Amino acid sequence: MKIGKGLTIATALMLTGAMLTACGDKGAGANAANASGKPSAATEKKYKISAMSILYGAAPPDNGTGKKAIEDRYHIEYNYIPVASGEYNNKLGVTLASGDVPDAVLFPYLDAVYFSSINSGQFLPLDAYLNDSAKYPNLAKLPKDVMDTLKSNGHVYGVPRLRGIPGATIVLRKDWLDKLGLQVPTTYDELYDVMKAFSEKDPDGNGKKDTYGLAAGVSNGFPFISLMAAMHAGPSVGWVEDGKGGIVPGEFAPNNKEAVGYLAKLYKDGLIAPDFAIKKDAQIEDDFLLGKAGVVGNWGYTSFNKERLEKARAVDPKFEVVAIPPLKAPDGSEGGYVKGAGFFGVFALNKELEKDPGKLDKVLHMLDDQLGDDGATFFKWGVEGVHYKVENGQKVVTDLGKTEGPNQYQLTNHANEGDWILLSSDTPETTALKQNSFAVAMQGKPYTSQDVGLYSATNAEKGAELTKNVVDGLVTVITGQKPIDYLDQMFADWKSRGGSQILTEMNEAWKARK
Amino acid sequence: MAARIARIDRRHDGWRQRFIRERYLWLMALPGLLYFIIYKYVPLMGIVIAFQKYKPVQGFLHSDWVGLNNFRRIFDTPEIGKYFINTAIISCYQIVFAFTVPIFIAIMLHEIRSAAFKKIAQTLLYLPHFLSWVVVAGIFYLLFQSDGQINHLLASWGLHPINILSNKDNFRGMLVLQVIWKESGWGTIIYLAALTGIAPELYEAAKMDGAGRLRQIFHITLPGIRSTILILFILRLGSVLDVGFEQIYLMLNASVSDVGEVLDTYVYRMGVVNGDFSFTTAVGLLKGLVGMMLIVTANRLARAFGERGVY
Repeated sequence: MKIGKGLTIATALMLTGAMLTACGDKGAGANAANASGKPSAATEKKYKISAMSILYGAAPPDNGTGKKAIEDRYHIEYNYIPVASGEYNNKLGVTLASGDVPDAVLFPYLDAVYFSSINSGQFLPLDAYLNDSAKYPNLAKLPKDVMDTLKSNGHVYGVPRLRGIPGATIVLRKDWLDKLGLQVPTTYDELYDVMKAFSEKDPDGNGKKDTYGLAAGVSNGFPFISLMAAMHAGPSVGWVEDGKGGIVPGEFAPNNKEAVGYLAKLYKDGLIAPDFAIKKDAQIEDDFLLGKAGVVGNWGYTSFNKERLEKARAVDPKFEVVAIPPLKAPDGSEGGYVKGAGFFGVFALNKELEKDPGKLDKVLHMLDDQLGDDGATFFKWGVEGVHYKVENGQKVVTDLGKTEGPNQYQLTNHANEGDWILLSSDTPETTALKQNSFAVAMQGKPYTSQDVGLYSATNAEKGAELTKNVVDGLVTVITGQKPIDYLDQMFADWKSRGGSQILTEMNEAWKARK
Repeated sequence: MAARIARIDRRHDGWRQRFIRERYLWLMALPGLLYFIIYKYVPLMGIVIAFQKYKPVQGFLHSDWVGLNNFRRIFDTPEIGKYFINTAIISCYQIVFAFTVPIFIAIMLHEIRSAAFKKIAQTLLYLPHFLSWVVVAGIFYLLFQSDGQINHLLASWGLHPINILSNKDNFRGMLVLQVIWKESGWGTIIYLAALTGIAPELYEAAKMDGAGRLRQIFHITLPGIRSTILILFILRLGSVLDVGFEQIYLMLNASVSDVGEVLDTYVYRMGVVNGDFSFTTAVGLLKGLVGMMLIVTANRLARAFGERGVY
């Protein structure tokens, strides 16, 4: 089943923002190489390293100055292959099938494709290197929680791209709230009232009824992770504990009828666009940014960046947003948001690298370096005078730094904590928004999607199709074509088509991990 | 005379001499032959993965053979029945409507007397063919989404908004209308060519006998292009289960996937996105088999009725 894809997408989007920022230290390349005890560049063999990663927004230039700086830093020939996020899964499938696999490949999700690739021996188990704290100090320091999640068949196959644990929150149009004289909602009923006002009381003041309460759509799943979080059920939250000592997909969790029923009510009362099913990630975000909807249910801290604010303010200069604390659960108890897994995607290394220890060491060193303070600083800022300049003792990113700084070609990054959640492009406003989101996401009783990193063979084979059926079924319930009790039939159907087996396997894996 | 001698000689020559004599013809045919060999016949070898449990690392030389397992799985997968039916229904709509519309248009164009008007009409009709489906789908979304232009217009007239993009009831109809709008004009070209082949004397004789326009159409024009229609129909049957992946993939959404998901989109999802190559190759192969059987049957029928067929 889908695992909080909304969140991952949101995180990814933010990251994009992160990657857009650029920065650097002049001569950092040479210094870093020395600092990490590497032999000097002149005597070292120049390896050709290829890496495929996900791209949000515009592609960096093929021969950008940032890429050059990276090549100098590591003394490599760097073949960076950025693939647009919408196309990533297709490209990944084709790349794996072609047999011509780059040295490092990003798997954005621990999904069927990931598990079948590692099970077929295309990628290298990394345990030995990840524990070698002498050679790779930063890899050895990767958070244990994350690494436990990544363990499959007793091995770790990927170096994670670390993200903050705080996940997505409900985000509202603050200027609309103020204009209509409404309070920040604290319960689902209050949120309903806010959305109703957003769609009926003309919050944008253009005299037309052309706004909706909630930005909704269907990509691979629904963008409702933070909206559904306090329900402990419903789409987007991943697998949750069923209260009977096991786990179950959120869509079929005990409280699922209340959760999905809430969405159905929003739809019935016109607070969601009638044809929301045609909207994909990009349109969902646009609906919120461009003033068609007042609430969004999958924005994490990385969502708050300058590009988004600028885009929104080009349409409405008064655009203000606020991330709100978790709603109370329907039974009145304290609610919480779904926590992030602590990473978004992992880099797996081509098995062929085993044959060339020198090259393997180089790839591992690159990943290790990018996780550490020194490397992360280099990637954040780039080269002084090129990607950033120092004004009044402050580093300021240059235009070149924004478009082709090293972060445009970055693989992994520093652990997201403290100031490391900030990008070189962050303004005081986005900094405040990020820090606020980071904080409210952890208020109340945050919890984790239970399925992240769990492997079920049946899920790998049939999961994608079953999930699709569930998404289609949920749309018919939300749009009122089927009654809410249809969820029971969907669950029965899901189980009979292989879901029972998935349930068993996931629960076994979950108990084994506990 | 010389040609005749050459022909007689040819009968007695071995293939070697013939080849040498016809070497320039072969040379001219070479690019075409290479194209078919490299891009059509060599890839056919990939079909073997339908009988394997194909793993990219092992390649098709070393993957395990599983016999007909993948084909058995097709019949064990309940969705496939649904997708097959969706495909068949959409295809039927397309054959009944999208296939016949160009014939009508071609005949109407043929009847136009003003050459200038005919040229303009043809150009306008051909134009949509050159738009890619992405553009057509984009236009449709912009026009018909809930806050699109059409609904703004309806709202300003005080009418109810319409929802055709995520409505099961009209999804298939919308697909076929799109195909008609985009491809009908282009489809007339072959018919127009066939129509020019009808001897004008036939029309003159019919006029002398007092036949009106409609009679001329039914008794001269239609019979005149009958074999063209038939050949195109037989060829169309060969791709009866190809209902236009691009278009459907672009228009599909969760609300309509019950009626709109077809074999091609399923194969794409399972094969390219989920990496289930062997299984989807089997599905594709079966699809091709159905098409081939239909072509053979239709061709036999055509010949039985005294037409020439495609081969």
